[in-house]
Amino acid sequence: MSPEQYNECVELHADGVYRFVLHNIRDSEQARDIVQDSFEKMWINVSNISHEKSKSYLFTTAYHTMLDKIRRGKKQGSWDEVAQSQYSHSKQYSGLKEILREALDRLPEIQRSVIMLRDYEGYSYEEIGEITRLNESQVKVYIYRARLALKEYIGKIENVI
Amino acid sequence: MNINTSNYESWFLDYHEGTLSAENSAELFLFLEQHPELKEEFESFEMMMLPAADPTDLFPDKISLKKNNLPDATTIQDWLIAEMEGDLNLQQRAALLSFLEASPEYQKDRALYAKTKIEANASIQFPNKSKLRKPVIGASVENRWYYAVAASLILLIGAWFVINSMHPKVSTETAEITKDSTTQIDSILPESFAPVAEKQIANQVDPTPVLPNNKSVVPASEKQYPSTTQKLANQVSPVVKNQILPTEKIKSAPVNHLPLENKLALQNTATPQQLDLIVPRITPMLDESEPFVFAERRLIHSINDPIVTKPENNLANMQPATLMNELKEKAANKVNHTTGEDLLAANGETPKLPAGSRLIKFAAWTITKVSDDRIKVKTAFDPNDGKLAAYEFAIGKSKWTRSTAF
Repeated sequence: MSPEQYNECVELHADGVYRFVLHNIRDSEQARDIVQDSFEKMWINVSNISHEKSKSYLFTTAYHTMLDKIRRGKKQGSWDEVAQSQYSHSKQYSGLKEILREALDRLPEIQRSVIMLRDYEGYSYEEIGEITRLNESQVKVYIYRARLALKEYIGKIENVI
Repeated sequence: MNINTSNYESWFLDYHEGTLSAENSAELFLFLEQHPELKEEFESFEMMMLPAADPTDLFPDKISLKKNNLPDATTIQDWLIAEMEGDLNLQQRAALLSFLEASPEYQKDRALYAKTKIEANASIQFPNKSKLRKPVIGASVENRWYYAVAASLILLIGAWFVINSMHPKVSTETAEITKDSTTQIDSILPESFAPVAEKQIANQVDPTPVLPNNKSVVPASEKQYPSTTQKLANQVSPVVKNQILPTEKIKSAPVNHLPLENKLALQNTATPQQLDLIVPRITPMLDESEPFVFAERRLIHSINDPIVTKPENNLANMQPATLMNELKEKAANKVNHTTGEDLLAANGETPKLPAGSRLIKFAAWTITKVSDDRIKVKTAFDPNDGKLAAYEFAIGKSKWTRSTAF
């Protein structure tokens, strides 16, 4: 990949990677760091990465960098607290998107990641498997479980409303 | 392992199935003699054998146990998710729709699954995108133009240094000679020529102008020249200095230093009669279409040519000052319109260029190629010495042409 193509990747994928990370860790500062780290890693290996694989490389790197940070955060006991306090359930819903956001936040980490890769970026099961280092069947199972959980959550909220 | 009250059942079973050895069978009967309360249990084993199965006893709804790959109440959720994920083929989708038609209570689940598709919030953007970008070194599609210009300027500056090193005495001064004015011939003379000529000024000034018809008018008094066997200082033409030329507007560029006097000093003095014969011979040698700088050098080379210097051509007896006079007159007419473009147009194939000129030529070619003809650099080289005579630098419709030969 040429430096020009690298800069093109910044334009094309920086926002997507940022959203993906931000919705997972819910901390904009950390999300920025992870995106910057991911692009730095890609720049270091820019000559070894094909342009076609650049997006996948970015999401893979960002995903695993994010997991590392989450694990470190959990050890420090900060991430869970922030997550729970900032994103606890609210009964004041303004629409389906907000309900869905709440439901998404309640999903297990891996389910949330795979379904975001699926819906946000349109990745196939195989591609998601490459990014998350799961096999295709596992990806499928997580996505099915996530859909089921989202549907159950939306159904309950709609019943309440 | 010996038989005892904890394991005797397995011994009984083995005996009745016929897998107990003779030695162990003896041990079994010895054990029964010691434990008569177990004899009845031992004998009852024979009565527990099942009768043979009836082959007519069949399961009545075996087909219902087989998987038929159709949705049902237990698998409908998977089918609905698969539909939403786009995992169903046409046949499976038709089966699902058929099932939903028969079981409309699942339509609500279907609608809920459709709502689980999450959408990215496009308003969330990475704030430090500019910090992620890297400077691109080398030509890029967007920046190629600017890099080409920068490279051209560097090469041009380099070429200027090369030219300067090749032409150490090139002057940048110019002189304007208008149609109504007159100019002194030494303004276009080689610099090295002038100081020598100055020595002759006091005694040998020739106020007679040279006519523009290519025939020099030399007074008889001035046709008595010293012998060419004298030293160079005494050989320099008295008609050169302060010679007044009626010319059109001359934009005279600096004149190159030429070791002309050295060449001319070897010639013999010509008589007026000889000059009358020589001048017409010189005139055809001055091609009107040829830039003066090239013509001048070619002519000087020709003078030393053994063929030209044959006695029968009378050129060997040419008086150098007269020759110069003739040349300068031509020069006065030519310099006016000999521009860099003329040099570029007149420059043909130069057989052997020196290293510096080859470098310049390559640089010009490279600039043109790298810029994809956006920047065009043309060069012209003196056919005699191969030095840069003129160059043209064109970007788009803008064009700069310079002559380095004057």
